[in-house]
Amino acid sequence: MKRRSEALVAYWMLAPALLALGIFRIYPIAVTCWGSLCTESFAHAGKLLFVGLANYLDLFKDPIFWKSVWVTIKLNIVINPLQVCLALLLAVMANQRFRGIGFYRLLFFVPIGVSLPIACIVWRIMLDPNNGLIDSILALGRIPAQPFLINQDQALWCIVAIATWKGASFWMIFLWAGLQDVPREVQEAAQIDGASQTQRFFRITLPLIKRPLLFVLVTDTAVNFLLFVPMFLLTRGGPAYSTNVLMYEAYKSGFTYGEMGRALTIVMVLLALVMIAVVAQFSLFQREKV
Amino acid sequence: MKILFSPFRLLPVSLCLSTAALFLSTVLAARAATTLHWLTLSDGAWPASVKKVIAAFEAENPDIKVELDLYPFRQLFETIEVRMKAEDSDVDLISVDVPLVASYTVRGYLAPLNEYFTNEEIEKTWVKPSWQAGMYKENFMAAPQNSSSQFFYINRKLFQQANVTPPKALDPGKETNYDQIASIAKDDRWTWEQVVDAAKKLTKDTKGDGKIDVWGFEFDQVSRLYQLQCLGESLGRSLVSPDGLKAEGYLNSDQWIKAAQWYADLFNKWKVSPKNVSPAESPDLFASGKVAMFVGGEWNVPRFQEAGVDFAIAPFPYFKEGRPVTGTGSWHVGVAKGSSHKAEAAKFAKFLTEQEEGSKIWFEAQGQLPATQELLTAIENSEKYRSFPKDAYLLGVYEARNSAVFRPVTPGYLQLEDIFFSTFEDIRNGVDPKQALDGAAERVDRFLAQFK
Amino acid sequence: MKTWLTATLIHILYCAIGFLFLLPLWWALASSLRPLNDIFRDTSPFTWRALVPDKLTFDAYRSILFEKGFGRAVFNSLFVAFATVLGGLAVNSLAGFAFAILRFPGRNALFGVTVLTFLVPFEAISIPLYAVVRSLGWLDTYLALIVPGVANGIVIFLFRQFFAQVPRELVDAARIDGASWLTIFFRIYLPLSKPVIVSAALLIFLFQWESFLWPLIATRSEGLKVIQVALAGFEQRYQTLWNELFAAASLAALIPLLILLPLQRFYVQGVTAGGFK
Repeated sequence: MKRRSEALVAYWMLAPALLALGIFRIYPIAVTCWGSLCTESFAHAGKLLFVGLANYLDLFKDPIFWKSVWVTIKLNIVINPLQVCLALLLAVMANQRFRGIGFYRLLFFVPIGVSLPIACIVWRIMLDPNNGLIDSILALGRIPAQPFLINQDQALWCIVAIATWKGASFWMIFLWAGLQDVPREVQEAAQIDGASQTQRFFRITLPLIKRPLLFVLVTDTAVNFLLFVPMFLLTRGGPAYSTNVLMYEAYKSGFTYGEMGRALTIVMVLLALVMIAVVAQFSLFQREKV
Repeated sequence: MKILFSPFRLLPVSLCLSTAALFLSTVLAARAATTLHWLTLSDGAWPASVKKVIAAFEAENPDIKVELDLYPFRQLFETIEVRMKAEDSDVDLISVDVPLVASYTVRGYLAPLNEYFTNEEIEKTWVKPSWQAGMYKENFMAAPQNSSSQFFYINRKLFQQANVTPPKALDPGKETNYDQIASIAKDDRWTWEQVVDAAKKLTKDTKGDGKIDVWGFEFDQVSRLYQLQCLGESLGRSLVSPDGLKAEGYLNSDQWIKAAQWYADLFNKWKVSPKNVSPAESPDLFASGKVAMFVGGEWNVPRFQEAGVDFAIAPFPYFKEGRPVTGTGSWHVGVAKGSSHKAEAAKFAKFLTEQEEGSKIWFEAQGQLPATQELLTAIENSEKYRSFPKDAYLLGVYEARNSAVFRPVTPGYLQLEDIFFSTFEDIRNGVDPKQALDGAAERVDRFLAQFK
Repeated sequence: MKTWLTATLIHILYCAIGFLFLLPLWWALASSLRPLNDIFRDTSPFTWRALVPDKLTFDAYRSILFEKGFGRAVFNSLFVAFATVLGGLAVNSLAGFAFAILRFPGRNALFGVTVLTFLVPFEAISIPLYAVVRSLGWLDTYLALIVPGVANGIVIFLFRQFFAQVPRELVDAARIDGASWLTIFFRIYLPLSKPVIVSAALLIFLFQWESFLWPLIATRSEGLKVIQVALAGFEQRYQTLWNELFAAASLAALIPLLILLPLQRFYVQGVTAGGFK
């Protein structure tokens, strides 16, 4: 009896969210899946034709697609751990107590207000290879001016840096929230017992914020796999396709070329990749009971 | 009962009823006015200028109203895609960027206009590059609203300071006329070779800190097809085959490789042009006096005047062994395929683009180079355009009649333009031109294959 | 001696990071106060002058607020964001609670579906979503901007993670005492969750605040324009109005920061840490 009523309560609590998600997310996602199996017929002025897996086969034959897969994986292997670790570091720094911490914390929050497009525009000017700020600073250290965004080998990492500038600050907030639930008494007890600061951090604090940490990792991964605005604004996927992530290739196909079938096919592939990453992260944390 | 239907009662009652019915029907007829929705630009003065044309149209056609759905330039394309794909029937008119006519046609966004415009009308009204660009396979799909031209802007002060002789140009403070300008364009037009020579002398490191402060030359729309098309075309080769379905042998032809190499050398060998400047920032450089020579659209004139640059306007350069070619084409207006008011929409399109009244109001309000032969002749003969900087219009008229080449008509234009831009940006940043163009042609053909 | 040195080093470190975060906004703000043609004068090479305008002018702000109706866009964004936050906190916290605490058949499957919803990019579903909203008759209304953003898989996930951290003993004790699930939710979980509520509110707020593509296609009236769409309007075809763009961007950046500022105190641990001792 109790179990059945518990389930009933659960369904009622979930109803509004699931209803809204159903209408505004699940249904469109289902249409998207279907769309990847269709293509426009130019002989019939744009009518949609079901073509099964033809879009996928065409895509797999395209060398640029495979390059995009590689770029996407390369980007995410680096940016996700980087952002989460930096966010954690910043959260710990923000959690300290000393005079002036409020002021510093406010500075740490600033990137949150700056929207990503604006951040990209401004950083692009700072990274100008002709005479930008960063090159001027490097010149002080006698380092030659770097091409940054117009160089095949550097462009992707510049985007990583810009996205991290915003990302580390943003995710810090959630980890900082997580740190609030770590009771100080336990920390203090460990300190009395003679544990060093690092030991306390890794043995006590870290395990206690596993859940928020998983949240940040999974969500950040999802966001970064889908990241394309900096590529769109700064490099257009270049130079030489070195920043052409899957999502940008999809966006370009759908909104610039008007080839929705191809776009949705790429999105499906991307979805598969993200799911693999997310499931891996869940099971990694699951091993330690989250 | 009988008394109710007596004629003495019936007459006034029926009179009242019929008056009421008459009144009601006029009200309803007014309400039954057709409202057209036009997806168009929100940039700058465009909405205000368009509203003037609409006001005149609505005055003549009281039962048709035109409402505007406005979007900034870049977002207009995205929005057209989404709404057309979602089969939004609330769209009647679309502003079509001229090279997209073919693409929109094959994807079923536009309704053919042949029943509203006869072939005779079409050829008589507009200059050839403009109306040809509005056609796809014998069907007239979008009517030219205006056109554009390209000029060669010179910063006179920088030329003086470097002691370099500038090209013969339209100078401030001088009076001129069409014939004079035509002769400058025919006989004194600079070649790209001359441009490079001058640029080398004009590029300077004025502060002596190892960084260039004044650049010799810059394109307005760096790496963009609209402007750079003129390079290969000047050498005599188009970007794709005439049917718009093949790039191999065109985009990577010897002429285009030569043009691309010249482009690459500007940034990498002679270093007279800055890297990493986007099309959005490029005019700012000329406006702030950091560039000596600038090729750009006619729309830059008011901007440079306002910024206080001491500039002159010369004809667009060409390759010595080739012929002069200028970019052209701007916005057309098309009727949406899903519109339920096609006849009314076509009527408005006609008023705006073809009829003397509408096209004149548009030209006077917005000031962009017209596409109609009538207006071009009017400019040629008018007193208003004899002094600087208005005489630039005369140059625009000359180019429209003699050197203008429209962009490739191909259903894969969007893919072509995007790949062109990436490729030329790579070339600008040092990738070998032949390699880049070969890869680009292959890629473009991959996309064009679906249209065969 | 050592502590004095460490303290200074710490302050330098914090300052350096803070400066790095502040620099772009500072430059944008400074540029918004300069005349349009001066903005790029001191960027190449980049000197300190770029950060301190010599000719102060409020033209950009005057233009965007009085001529271009940016104030309206600010109002719209705030209204939509707050409405979504209110709806979103209610809907998503309940769902998160159900996933974290209650046991019911299909729990894992439904949770998986919820997570799936934020793995698909918005751009991919924009066209079918547009068609759905259109058939509901909500196009060009506030409803179109608010309702699709209320239920959010990320926020549900967030609540679920935090609620799962609360020790089970509390729930069991309350159930033995005969408390209903709703009572447990309101009386036990919510009071313990101030930081996560603020984080969730922030997430929803920023999601709406930075929303661009959806408001662009879902509304067309001038009166419904939101901030990001208005910002895009400054990048015109032939010229970008940098000073106005930066003025609008600075306002758009300062507003969330001003909101976040007083909310900081919900994060700082009180003496009764955790609260469930």
